[in-house]
Amino acid sequence: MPESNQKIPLRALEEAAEWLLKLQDAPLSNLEQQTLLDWQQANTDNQAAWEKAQRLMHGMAQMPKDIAGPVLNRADDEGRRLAIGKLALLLAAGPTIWGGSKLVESQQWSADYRTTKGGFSSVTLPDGSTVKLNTATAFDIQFNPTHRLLTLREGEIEIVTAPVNSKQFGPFLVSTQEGELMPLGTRFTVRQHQEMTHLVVIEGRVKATPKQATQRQNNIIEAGQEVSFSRYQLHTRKALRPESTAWLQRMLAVHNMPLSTFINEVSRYRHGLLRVSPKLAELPISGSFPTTNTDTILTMLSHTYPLTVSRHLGGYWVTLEAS
Amino acid sequence: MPHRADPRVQQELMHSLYSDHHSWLFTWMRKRLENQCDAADLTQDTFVRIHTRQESDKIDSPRAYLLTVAKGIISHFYRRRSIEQAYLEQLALLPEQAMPSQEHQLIILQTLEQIDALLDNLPKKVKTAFLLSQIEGKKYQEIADEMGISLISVKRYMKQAYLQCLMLMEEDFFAGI
Repeated sequence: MPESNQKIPLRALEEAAEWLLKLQDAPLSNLEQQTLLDWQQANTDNQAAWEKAQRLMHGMAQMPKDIAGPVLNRADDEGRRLAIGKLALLLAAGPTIWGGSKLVESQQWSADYRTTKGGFSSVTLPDGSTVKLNTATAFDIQFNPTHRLLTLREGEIEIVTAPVNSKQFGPFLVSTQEGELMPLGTRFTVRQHQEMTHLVVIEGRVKATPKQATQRQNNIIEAGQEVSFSRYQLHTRKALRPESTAWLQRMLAVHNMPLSTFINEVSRYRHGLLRVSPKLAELPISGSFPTTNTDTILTMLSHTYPLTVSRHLGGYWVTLEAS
Repeated sequence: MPHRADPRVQQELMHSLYSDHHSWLFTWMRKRLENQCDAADLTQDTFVRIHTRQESDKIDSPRAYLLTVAKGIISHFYRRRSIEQAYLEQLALLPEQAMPSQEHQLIILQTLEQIDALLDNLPKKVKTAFLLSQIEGKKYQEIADEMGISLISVKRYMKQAYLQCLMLMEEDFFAGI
């Protein structure tokens, strides 16, 4: 066992705890990152304490929210555990209980679905529609007799709506920060960017309505088209690019994407900080990369392009520099 | 560093510890557990634990030492069982498509046990704040609002929880993740 029973002084552990506290709240400024790096490299105690802190963060990030919450809270909060249990039971029961039960029809309810960084999962909604979740994604659903509403909080999803009688379930709606989407019998993906929603329609058609549209636009997006929209307007629609749906195969596919943008994409799947030297920011990247292992992506980059990957803080902070 | 004496000496000491004490420890375990199999397993685990620590040559009072280790093993056993139960309950409620693979389930269960042990004995408020942050991904201000406490308190709780985790973490905790 490596370095077993190494006694790390309390001081170093306390300082590591302080850094975790800071990291958790907001992204570090450049100055803070440097301070953290200096602190970590100051001595072996700090190094060992930080290595522990990183393992802690990774362990925590591994926990699926819907399971870990109830399990870890089990003893001291029985009531909450039961409530969550009942909700999950409704979800699991699916359309049968949903269609028939007056009790369910009489009340609204909602549920959270979430993946952590690097995660990927697929769920079936009570009406039989399926949703795939890409990395770091969260959405709520609210099904009631008048509508089926899916609210995308962050990340990227693919929805395949079930061919159901909409009288039984009400129309299906997807809400993002910028607006609302109404699928018309369909398969499509939605990604929440910062202040922008991106919609890719694979099959069928989707009506996209920005929250504060200022002008009348044709807002029906057809199969084979993709479009971004802000709160105010739809941008020009484009022909669907294969890269846009590569995430469904757990790949990141790009064509002449600037390295800085590419690294932002990789960061969606990876814990820690990735930095690109400004000299390399515009380097065009092309290819398909596995999102299941971001270390492999970094290695592939260093083999294909004139750059060096340096790992600090045990891989938590990675910099790409011209070689 | 753990004390490491000559392996042969260790082995002989271990052997005599086992033959002198196995019987009464098994009886002691049986009184505390529902079934005989568990009692036999945990008695065995107690000796294995002592063997792994390679400290059998340093034991002055074997009876007290064995009891201390055995109590730890029993409490670990109950913790494990209660987590397993809660975990399986939650798992049964998931839609089939959301079910993690067998292998992944085992990893989740082990990690849950480790985290649960780390958070053991933390005051309830501290634990709640920590789980809201780590599991639910809430911001400190959101936690403060939800719990009706000040932002400063949330930060103090978080630091307390982090520090306890770091202090209790063994070297193999979350290794290889």
